[in-house]
Amino acid sequence: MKKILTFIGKWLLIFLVASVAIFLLVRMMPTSPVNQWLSSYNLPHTEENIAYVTERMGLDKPLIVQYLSWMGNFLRGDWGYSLVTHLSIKDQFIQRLPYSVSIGVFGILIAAAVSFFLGYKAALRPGGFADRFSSALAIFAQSLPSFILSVFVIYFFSVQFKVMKFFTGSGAYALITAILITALYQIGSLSRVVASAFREEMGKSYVRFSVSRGFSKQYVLFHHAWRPVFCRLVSAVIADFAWVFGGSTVLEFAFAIPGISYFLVDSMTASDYTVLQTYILVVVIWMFIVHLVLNVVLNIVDVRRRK
Amino acid sequence: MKKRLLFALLIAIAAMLALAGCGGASSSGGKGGNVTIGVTNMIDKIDPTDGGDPWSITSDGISETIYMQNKDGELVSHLADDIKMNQDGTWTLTLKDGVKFSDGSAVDAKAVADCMNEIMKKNENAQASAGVIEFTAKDDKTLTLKPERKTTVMKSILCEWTNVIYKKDGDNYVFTGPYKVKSLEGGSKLELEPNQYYDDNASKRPNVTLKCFKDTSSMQTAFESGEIDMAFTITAEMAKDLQNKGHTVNNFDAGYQYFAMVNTANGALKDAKVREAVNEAIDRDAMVKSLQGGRVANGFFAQYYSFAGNVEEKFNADDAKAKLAEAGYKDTDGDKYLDKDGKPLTIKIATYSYRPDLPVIAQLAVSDLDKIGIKAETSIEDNIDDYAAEKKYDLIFYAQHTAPTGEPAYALNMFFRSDGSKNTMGYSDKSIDAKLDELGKMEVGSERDELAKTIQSDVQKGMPVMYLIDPEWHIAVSDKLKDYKPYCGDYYIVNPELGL
Repeated sequence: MKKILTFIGKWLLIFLVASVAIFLLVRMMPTSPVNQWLSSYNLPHTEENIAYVTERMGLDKPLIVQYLSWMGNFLRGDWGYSLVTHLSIKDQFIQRLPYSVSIGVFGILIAAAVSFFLGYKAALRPGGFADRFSSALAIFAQSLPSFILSVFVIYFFSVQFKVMKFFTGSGAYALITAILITALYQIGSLSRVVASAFREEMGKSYVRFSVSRGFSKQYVLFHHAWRPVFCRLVSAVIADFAWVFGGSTVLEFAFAIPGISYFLVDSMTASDYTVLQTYILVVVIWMFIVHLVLNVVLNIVDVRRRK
Repeated sequence: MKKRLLFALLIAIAAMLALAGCGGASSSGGKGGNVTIGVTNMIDKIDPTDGGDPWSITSDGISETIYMQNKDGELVSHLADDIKMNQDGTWTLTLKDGVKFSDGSAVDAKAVADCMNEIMKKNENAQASAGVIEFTAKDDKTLTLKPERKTTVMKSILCEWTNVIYKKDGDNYVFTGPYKVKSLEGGSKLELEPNQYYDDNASKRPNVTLKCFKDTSSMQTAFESGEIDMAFTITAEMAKDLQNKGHTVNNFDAGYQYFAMVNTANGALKDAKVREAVNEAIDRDAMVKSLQGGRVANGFFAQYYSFAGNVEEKFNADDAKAKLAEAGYKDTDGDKYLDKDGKPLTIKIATYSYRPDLPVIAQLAVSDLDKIGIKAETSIEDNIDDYAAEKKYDLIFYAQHTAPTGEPAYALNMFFRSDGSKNTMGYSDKSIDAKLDELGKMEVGSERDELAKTIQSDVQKGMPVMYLIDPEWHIAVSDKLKDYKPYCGDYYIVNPELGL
């Protein structure tokens, strides 16, 4: 119970600090939301107009009142309207999040699943094919930008062989390919984490004892050493989930997928602060959910954490 | 082990190929087939009274203004028979018989009055030229238009992008353009189908899909793969690349003008001699060559307009050097750059990336200025209009469609009148203001055109702007659209002739 309360308290504090920081940052920007709003309607920045819009946006009130009003609206689900498109920000997020979340979440889950088995094989035979392949993948991910690979994939399958349509039709190919590329860029590093964890377990007495009693190394590792390795993998994956939103930007651009990054870059270009501050809060909530779910998973898998 | 991995790889490739075979087939479309257009910007919603939406929906072939430009820059109407000025300064507009909205209902005087009065109320941009215009239906076909400020160019005002004709249908809108909306994924994809009530060619028109690409390389790849039939627009480099690969690239008059706004109030360019020197040092022919099309500007308007200027811009680097010497600039420290009173002659050229041609020609200008001893540098600004409003620049390379309504007064007033809304150049000339007043009172015709030409020539003497390029833009088109040429820049990307 104490752990649950500590966990919730920690995240409430993160949410509070992040919300205050972004709230103040917006007000320190060189272009004010009022000017931005007037520009979006091509209205002159006269004193009367500025005063009217400032009052209408509630920016003439004390900062604490503005903050409480903004947070209250956010928690009630009223995320306001974009300064540029004048559309509901919540609706825009709901429409676009499935694309970005699918690319990030499925990409990472596929990468985790493949990495577990690739790392397992790499640990069993150091210097073997799986070991060298996973190392090569890790180097590949660091040296070749995903945008270049995307262009190559599009050119190869779409222009050269004309077997896929990435930009028209249902958009399924673009989404699936983006997920696979996301996975590919994670497999190398995650499989190295898994291989290292399995090797660590191989040196432990319970593994050596079981092997000396006649069980095969493969059997012991796969049936008894998987829990601590899985926990290490989950811990590594948590960090990857942080970039689910922003990390898919390059792929969304290359495959013209209308995800949240697509929307975010447009908002940054137009200094659409209402969207940007909402985005930060949504990322904090997302990371809270990721930590919550993965902590539950770790508690189920790792008996020691329950004590 | 290797065999297993190889097997897994083969399964993955087979799955991809299977996916390729089972989905994404294009719909069969109407009798005119399907046309897919790649664009770099797209509307998020359809609201003809909000912000820039009316401009976009007209550009996409959904809505129309009462008067529109044809490919020769003349004002024509699909909706109106005639418009006449009355003695009291009001106007009488007569609608055509049989014109319908895309839902089949008649475009009558009441419908026009209702939507135009709502636009005048909700969109302040609609009031820019003549104040609020009151529309009153006299009978089914006739309306009286009463402008707040007297005007002689009502046709042009009715061509302004804000003034689209629409009718509310519950929460949706119906329009009069050659196409109607089938579906919209805001900012990403817009599917259109022919408006069967538009004209006799409706059944021959294709279904049109507009797909938005934020990355122009992806748009080029989509074109090369055959997924899109037109890429609107592409850069000069892409045009060259695609032509080399055997694709069709069409050039068309942009209508936009590329010019340099000059800060005449502050900095080195406050000196008229320096302005003249910089203007002469810019090699505009090299810019045209680099952009793979267009022509040297001869004024503030595209050459096909009857009021286009007849200014002749000359490139003469030696003369430019002589003028700088006259202005007192010398290379005193032998670093090849000129200075005066111990201060180097530096010029900052700001521009923006939304028009990819601008950074290219700005870079060429830097090179030209370097040759006459001026140290110049470029910067790309996120919000060029805010930057201009600060009035701290030397030169801003800018693009603007200077005659979107087929008449010159709007842009000339905006940039060259002493208190013009886009006159951030510190330019003020009473004789120009008087000529602009006169222009506002004159009726459309050759005399008015001549005065517009005179203003362009006179303005060139004070040089608040340097006329640079009357550009052509490039589009890549498939065989299906090889004869298609848009007109009026990006104002009518989807026009009634698309696919016919």
